[in-house]
Amino acid sequence: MRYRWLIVIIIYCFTPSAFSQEFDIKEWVKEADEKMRGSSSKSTFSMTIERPGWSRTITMKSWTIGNKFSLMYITSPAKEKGQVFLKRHNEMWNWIPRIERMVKIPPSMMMQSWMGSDFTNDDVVKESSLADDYIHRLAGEEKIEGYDCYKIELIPHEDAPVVWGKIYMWITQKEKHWLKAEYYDEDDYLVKYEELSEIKMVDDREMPTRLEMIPVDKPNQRTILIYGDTDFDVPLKESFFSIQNMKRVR
Amino acid sequence: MNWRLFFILTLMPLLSFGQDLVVDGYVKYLHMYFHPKEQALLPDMDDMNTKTLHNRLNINWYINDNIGAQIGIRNRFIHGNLIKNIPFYKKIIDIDSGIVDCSWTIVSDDSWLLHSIIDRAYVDFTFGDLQVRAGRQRINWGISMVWNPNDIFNSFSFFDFDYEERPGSDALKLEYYTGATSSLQLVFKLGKSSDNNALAALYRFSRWEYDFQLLTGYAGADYIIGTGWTGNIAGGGFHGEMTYFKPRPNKDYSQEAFVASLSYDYTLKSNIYLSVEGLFNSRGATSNAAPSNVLYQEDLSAKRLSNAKYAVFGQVSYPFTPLVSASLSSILNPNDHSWFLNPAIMISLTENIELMLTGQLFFGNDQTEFGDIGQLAFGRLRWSF
Repeated sequence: MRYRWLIVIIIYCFTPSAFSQEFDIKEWVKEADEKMRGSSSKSTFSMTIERPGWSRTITMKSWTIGNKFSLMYITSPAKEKGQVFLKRHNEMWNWIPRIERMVKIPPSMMMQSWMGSDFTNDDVVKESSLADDYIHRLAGEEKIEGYDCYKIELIPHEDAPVVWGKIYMWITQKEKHWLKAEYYDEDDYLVKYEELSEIKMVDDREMPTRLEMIPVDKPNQRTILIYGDTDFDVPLKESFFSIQNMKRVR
Repeated sequence: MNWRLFFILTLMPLLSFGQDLVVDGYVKYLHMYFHPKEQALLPDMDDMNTKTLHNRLNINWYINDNIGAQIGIRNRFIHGNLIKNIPFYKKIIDIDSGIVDCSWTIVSDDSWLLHSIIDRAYVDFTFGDLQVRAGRQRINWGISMVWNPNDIFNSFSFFDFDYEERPGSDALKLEYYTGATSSLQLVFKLGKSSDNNALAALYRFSRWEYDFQLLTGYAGADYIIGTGWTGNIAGGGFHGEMTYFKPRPNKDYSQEAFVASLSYDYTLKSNIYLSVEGLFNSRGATSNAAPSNVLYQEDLSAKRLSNAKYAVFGQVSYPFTPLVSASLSSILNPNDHSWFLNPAIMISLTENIELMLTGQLFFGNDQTEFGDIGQLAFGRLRWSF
């Protein structure tokens, strides 16, 4: 059996290697993530914060290029209407028109709840890339809502601008729909999970249009994000994401 | 009513036919209870109250993507024994410091009054990177939460929490956007007399993840030069503003001053928000400061944000739920040891109705900045539309 090591190498070379598997999973994650976002987009959203006994809904318009640039205009409720959030790379500003003031949002506020929801400012404007900032591993195959899904483990690179210790994502094997995600903190505790549903045609693609974020320690709370009119791959320039446009969009 | 204003008001709805007209605002009911401090040499004052029904209307008219106009109207019906007990209160309500008097006390009696003021009335044009706004407008150059030495046009008062919009300035503002996060502003403000005019420029830019601003020009009797910034240290917001005032020639009644504020805020993982701020006012008193007039601060300006040389502010706030948040703020005069405590709770009752309960509690020895005022309690219901 002196050639056993050689056989092992040959088999290794001719079967999908660990390297190519990692590459493929990364592509899956990238495509599933980009499907929800497009290279650029213009869309309307509604966000409903649900708690036992009450709920509040915020509606907004949003413009994005990838995950580096975004501009968000709040259209309701009345008290918040007209507020604008601008994100350029890892910097974020808030324009409050009724007092004509521009507020720069410091990093410590990024982990704070965004407008009272179960999303943090960081969730809303995160620059981290699910494809580039994590190491991916296929953790299994599971069925969700009748879809065969890959369960993928994402561990952040050491220097990645990421607050999570680990993420699990479930992506359908055929259509690359992202259906579920679980977010773990650095001590490996499950903090919250996301469930995506209501798969519909949005602009030129089929994708989930309802996203629920549920904090694990408060199971009767949730925040529901629903995609409205959306155009993907719209011609937007980086220069659109400016303090001038914060004051002009509506 | 001034004819120019009449002309604008009449013409706006006519011209707006077929255009995009958006009206928003709020109705607030504010109940104030005031327990004045007993003064040694003066007769005791009764406890006072006001009940205010307060309506704000913002009429936004979007003619096209590049031309727009706004009118903002503040209407208040104020009732209570404070109006009777403080005779000059009515007069102070009915002040318009702009070139056109748009403030009217429509009807009044011993203990009530109905007052309206147009505090915004401007047209706005965009020519590419240049934005021109003419008319009564809020120009806000402030950065910090409590004290804004850079805000030479409309000074914010932490005590006047029910008027965060602040009065407008009658001004021409040109803003040229030199980049995505940088711009140059030039503002010419007209006041009632030439002593209230201002001409100033501000350049703002972003570098090293900080926003900076530089300003210069003249405001009233003084030349001004100043700078401000906002950025972060260790994740917390770090802000500063400073302005130097030097009397212009032949303005002997004015004196030079340097005013600066520095602040730091941090949001903990538990969502507790902490903020501290300090104020330095070179002209302020180090002995007992003159009492702050919290009911009507007509003499408030960037140069005179406080009667004291030093002031320290601290705030803790916490959102118990997305519907209920509370805060505790305090201002201390470190020289005369008088201080101010401001607990507040905000409750969202429905999508557009909010209840706020707050107190303004002033403490200190007689003849100090906060020692001669007393205590105030407020309850406010706000409906936004």
